[in-house]
Amino acid sequence: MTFQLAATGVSYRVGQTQILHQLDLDLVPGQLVAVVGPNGAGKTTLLHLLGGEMPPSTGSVTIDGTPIRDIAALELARLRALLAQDGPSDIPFPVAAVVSLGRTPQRRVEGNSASRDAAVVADTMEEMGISHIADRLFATLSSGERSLVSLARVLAQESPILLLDEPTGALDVAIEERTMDRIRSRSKDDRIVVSVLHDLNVAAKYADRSIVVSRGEIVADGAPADVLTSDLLTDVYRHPMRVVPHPFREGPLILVG
Amino acid sequence: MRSMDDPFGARRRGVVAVLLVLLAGAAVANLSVGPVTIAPGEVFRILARTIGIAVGDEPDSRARAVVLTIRMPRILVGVVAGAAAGITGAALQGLFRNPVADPHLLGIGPGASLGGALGSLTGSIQGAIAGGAVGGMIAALVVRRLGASRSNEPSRFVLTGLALGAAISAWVGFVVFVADRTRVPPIDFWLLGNLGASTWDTLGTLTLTAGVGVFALMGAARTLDVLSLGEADARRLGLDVDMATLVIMLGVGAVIGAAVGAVGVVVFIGLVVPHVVRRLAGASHRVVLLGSAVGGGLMMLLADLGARVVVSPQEVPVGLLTAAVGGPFFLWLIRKPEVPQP
Repeated sequence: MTFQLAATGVSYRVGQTQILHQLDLDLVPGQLVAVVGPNGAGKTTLLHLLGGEMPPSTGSVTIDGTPIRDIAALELARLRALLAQDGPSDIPFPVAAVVSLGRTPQRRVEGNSASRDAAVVADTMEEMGISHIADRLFATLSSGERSLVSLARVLAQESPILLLDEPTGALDVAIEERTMDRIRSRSKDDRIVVSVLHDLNVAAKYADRSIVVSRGEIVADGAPADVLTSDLLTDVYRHPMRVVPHPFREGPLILVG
Repeated sequence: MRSMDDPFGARRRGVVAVLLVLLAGAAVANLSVGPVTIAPGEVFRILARTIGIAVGDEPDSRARAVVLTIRMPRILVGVVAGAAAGITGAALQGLFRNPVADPHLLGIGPGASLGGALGSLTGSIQGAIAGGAVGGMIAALVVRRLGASRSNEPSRFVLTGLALGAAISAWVGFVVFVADRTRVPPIDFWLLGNLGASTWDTLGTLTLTAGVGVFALMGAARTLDVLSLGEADARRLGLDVDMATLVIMLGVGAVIGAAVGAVGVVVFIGLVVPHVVRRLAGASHRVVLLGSAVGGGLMMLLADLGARVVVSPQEVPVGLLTAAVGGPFFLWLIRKPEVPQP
């Protein structure tokens, strides 16, 4: 099944402040798409608009040609999962229960069953490396553990569109690498995967496509090796940066001056 | 591993069973204690004979009358009203993700009092209970409209409820002082509760009216679990949060409203009991709602026992006892977060 998530002429305004300005975007399965850019550029707003969290001020977001606002909430929950940064940290349930809540939209889907829910929850926790804390209370976890559990919950939703806002922000290097690897493998699983990423080198290593957002506009869109250039990054971040070939693997290495 | 087949730890239903046993024990104690003491053995004989099992000697006919026509309806009404307070407190705490949510503190109880006082102008317990349920539902909608759900800050939440409750309670006072005293119960009934006037009639009407709402609340258990993730993530999982809030608030209003119409406002049960149940049985709402209903009934019976013996042979309003326990608990609760923050 090939499908498409598209934004056409999308702007977003809050009061007098223009957050996003006339964006056009076409997303297809099979690629890990990284959204990068400085703080306040509009990355999270873009992700939330793509997820149907709020209607754009102008333009439209469509899934396979259907405007996202015309899709019922439960149907939308089966189509897309969104990992936001705004969740509470004091959820009073064990980890396994939090992950199992990700199955909520699948509960009445034909062919789904309690045993399948349990299997998906167990597999996803294993995949995210959190099986050993399955019985711990979410509220007692470290922020890194919480972000892994929240990501597992979103993955357990098994939706064909995955929208992730800085999924690895609180993780140490090794866990970040493993987690990005799992996220990337999801995109190869015929899903649309879009992730806001803070670390440019993580984007350069894992993304098939990088979208650079600056001051509410898309200023570059393409393969990381092509779009993440010294001039562009220095300009966008207003800080000297240099991009060199990575010394021991394919791809660019971004150095901050 | 427990987590795989039972991620919420819902097997701790054993807690509910233990609470039920304690409830039964409290019921026997309440049946035997009073101005006329009836030994537990005799209470059992009376109950056994009532369901057609003749054991031991023929019980004293006066004791039989006291147990079956005075104490029994009072106890059952107390159990249902306490259950109403417990389950509505649990539902509100889950809905608003707020540990200090309670139907009376939020002003829903006072709204039910006003409805109940107006309903009792009909001179019937049916009128009082129906009026309480309607008043409770209206007050619940007002609380929802005042945006309580948007304010997760406990202190503001409670202040809003206190202001609303004080304003409505003033109107209850007006109704009580203007109305015919033979029909409308006095102000201390509406503010502190009293089980003394309970009859089998009270029990029937209360159970029917509150039962519908209890059904709605138990049905919302899974929804409340999803809402524990926060409103935004609940929406992302396809939950119609506004509709769920409406159903739960109307259920809460009907259940606590019917209870207030029957026995007045008995404070703090809905605040205290769900916390104890969560601590013992985990936070899964199927267990918390059910456990809080049973625990609420238990707390009401213990308080009523106290209310009847503390200055015997006189009675004090049952709400004095629950407030004496619940007030300090409430102070402790707002000092200390339930879950340690990292």
